[in-house]
Formats: sequence, structure tokens, C-alpha cells
Amino acid sequence: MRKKIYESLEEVTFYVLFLLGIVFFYGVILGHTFSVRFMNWEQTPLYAHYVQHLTNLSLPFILATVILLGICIPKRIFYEKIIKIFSLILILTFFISIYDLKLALVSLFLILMAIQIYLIIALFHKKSLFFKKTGLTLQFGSGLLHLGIILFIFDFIVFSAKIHLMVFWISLILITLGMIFLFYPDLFKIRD
Amino acid sequence: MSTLWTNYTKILDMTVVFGKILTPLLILSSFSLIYFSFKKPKSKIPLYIHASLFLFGFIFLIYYHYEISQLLIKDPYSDFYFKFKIPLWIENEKLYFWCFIAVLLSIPIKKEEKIAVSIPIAIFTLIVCVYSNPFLEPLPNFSRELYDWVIRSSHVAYYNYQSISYAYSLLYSKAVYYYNSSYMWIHPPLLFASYGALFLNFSLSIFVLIKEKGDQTAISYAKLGYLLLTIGLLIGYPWAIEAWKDEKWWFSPKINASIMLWLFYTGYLHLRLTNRSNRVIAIVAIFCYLSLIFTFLVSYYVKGVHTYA
Repeated sequence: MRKKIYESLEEVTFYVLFLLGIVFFYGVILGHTFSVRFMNWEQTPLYAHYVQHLTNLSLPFILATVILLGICIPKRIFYEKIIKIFSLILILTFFISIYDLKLALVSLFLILMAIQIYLIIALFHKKSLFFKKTGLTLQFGSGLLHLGIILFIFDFIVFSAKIHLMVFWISLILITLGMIFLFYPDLFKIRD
Repeated sequence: MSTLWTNYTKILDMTVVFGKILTPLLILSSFSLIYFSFKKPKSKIPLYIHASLFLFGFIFLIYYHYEISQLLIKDPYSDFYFKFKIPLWIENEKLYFWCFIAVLLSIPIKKEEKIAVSIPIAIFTLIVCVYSNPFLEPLPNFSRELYDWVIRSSHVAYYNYQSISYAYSLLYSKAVYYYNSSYMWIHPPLLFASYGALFLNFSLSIFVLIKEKGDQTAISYAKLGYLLLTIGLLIGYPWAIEAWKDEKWWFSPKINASIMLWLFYTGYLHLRLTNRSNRVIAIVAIFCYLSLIFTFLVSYYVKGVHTYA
């Protein structure tokens, strides 16, 4: 059952990422068309429209990615309560977003980060977590990688803040370490 | 003409002579790779010879760039000078470095899968030799920029002070933000190294479609390529903030294409975890690689802050 949920999530992730990729491909074509038709179009109001247009197109898929991250992370800890917990997060986010979208996203990311950090700590205490593949190194890598990606997306929300570049470098380190542990678990035997 | 240009052309001439020796050897080695792929498919010797030739060429590139780094670019109106520390993966050297990494990474491949990579590597090498040869046509853009500067600086009486100072400041800023930038030694090589690994993933994916084997090796190259691609792309982000602070680079074509590429490969690595057949996963890998070629070509054909179009 859990395996089936995993596979369907991975399949949905694939489609969402591919569709988001198509949006960026469309961005290349649109940008090229504008640059051919209008000289110095980046200095005109057209550029602002272009950015807004692409943001509007990509936002549903970025939100879908965030939601998938939201499902992927807690599913390893609370399988039975996954829908309830995630629904609660979404409802909370929705209510906050009515007043302040940025605050809603910040709270969503903070919750995701907290769950991911708990997951990484829980890994070392043999809590009943579910991963498709076995091996502590690999699972630890997956945890670090997801936390790094959450931090990286979070970095865009705090773009104008002073911590922006610090958040970026932390996310880069986590993503790099996460991938190394996830892709090459045999190089590091943490404790299985 | 100034001594700067005389010294530079000496280095160029030496490089062209070297290219006239190495290029036929690389072409010969490429054909031998194809020939022995059918005649002795399990022999790795042609691959070792090919890798040695590429390594030899790369060592020469290091020497050639070192010689350029010894040239002093002096301001005619003051004692100020600077040097170019040109990276080894710009202009015509990009494809060479990309192919070189692919050749190096192909060495540990299993003997029975060697045929899957040796023919594509041979074709890639021939493309490099004919269309992007770093030895027969070394650094064309850099040479043009340097030549423009040499012409101005050696005719101080003809050009006015502002014109020469402006040309010098342009060349200096190009050196600081592009040629000598520390990011140029991290961001592009990581990306080209990833392209090399993903090229092998692409080659093996074609092999999977034809022979229905080699899928695990293809995935292992995809993992390596994806790791390097992710770090390489992320490293470009703080550089963009620093170098393009006054430019409009948000959703610029090359950025869009790079994000697209990363998303496709992320999707591909998720898809392999499902129960989809190896053929479907191989087709997706081939599609991803075509998007990589598209991303690479965007720099040359689509206008933007990150392109040469």
C-alpha cells in the first residue's frame, strides 16, 4: 500500500516537474520572440508583463511542487495521519494567505522544515519511518536533500532580507551532501 | 604592432601547430574507436588511447593558457596593469572539455557496455575536431577583443585619451567579471562535467533501447551528472546577483532553459523510481539530453544577458 502511494507520488512529481519545465521552455520561446520583434525590449514595460505572465503560469506548478514536498516529507513519519496533517497545514496556510500570502508561505515552509528536521533526527533513533529503499545513509541523504530544497525555495521568499545569501549557502551545502549520501551510500557507512 | 600582440601571436601560432598534429590523431583515433567497437567490442585499448590524446591536448591547453597569463595588459597613461587568467572551458574549448570529461568518465565502463559509449564518443570527437577545434582556431573572441585594444593602444596619437581609457576600462571589467572571475573556475566546469556524464547517460539510454541492457550504468551516470548539474547551476546564482546587479536577468532565456533542464532531469530521476519499463525511462533520458543540447544552443541563438547571440 505504502509502496503504491510512493510510486504514484513519484509519478505525479514527474508530471508536475515536466509541465513546469514546459513553462520555462515557453519562456525561452517567448523571450526570443520579443527580442527579435522589439529592440531593447527588456528596457520597456513589456519586460514587466513578460515576468508577470511567466510567474502566473509557473506559480500553480511551483505550488504543486511545494504541496508534493509537503506530502513526501511527512508521509515517512505519520503514514496513517498523512492526509489529516497535510490538510491541517493547507487549511492553516489558506487562512493566513487571505491576509498575507508571504506569511502563509513562510509558515508553510517553516512547518515543512520542522518536519524534515524531525525526520532526520528520528532516523537515528530507529523510529518507524517508511522509505522505499533501505539503508540509513541513503535515507539520511534523502532527508538532507529535501531539507536543502525546502530551504532553497524558502530563500526566494526572503530574497530582500539580509539572511538571503546565508540561507542560499546552507541550502547548497545540504543539497550537495544530501545527493552524495543518497546517490553514493556505499561510500559512507553511517550506521545501519 | 605592439610587443603584446607579437607575443600573443607567437602563442597562437604554437597552438595552431600543435592542433595540426593533434587533430589528425584524434580523427584517426575516433575512426579506430568505431572500427574496434565492431571488430573487438570488449577491448578497451582504443578508449585508453583516445583518452590519452584528449589528456595530452588538455595539458597543452593548460600550458597555452599559462603563456597568455604571462602577458601584461598595461594602461598607456599610468603604471597600472593586469593579466588575463583565462579559464580552460570558454569559446572553442567548451566542447573539447565536455567531450574530454565524457571520455574520462567512460573509462571505468563495463567491457560489454563499451560499444554503447565508444561510437557516440567517436562522433562527438569528430564534431569537436571539425566545428569547435580549440587548437586550430584558439580563443577567437578573446583574440578579437585583445586585437581591438592593441590597435587603440598602439595608436595613442590617433585616438583621443577618453577613447583609449574607455577601451581599457572595458577590457579590464571584462577581465574582472568574466575571464578572471573565480566563478568561471567553478560554475562552467561543473556544468560541462555534468554534460559529459549526461552524454554517457544519453548514449547508454540509446543502448537500452536497442539491446535492452545497461540501464543501471545509465542511471549511475545520470546521478553523477545531476549532482554536478545541480551544484553548477546553484553556484551560478550568487554570481548572477554579483555580476548582473544592474541587468534584467530574471526569466532570461538561458536561465529559463537551465531551470527547464534541471526540472526535466529531476523528473527523470523520480520516474526511474516508479514501475515504468526501462524503455520508457530510456526515452525520457534521451528527451532530457535533447533539452540539454537546446539549453546549450540557447546561448548562441537567443538574445539575453547570458548569451552571445
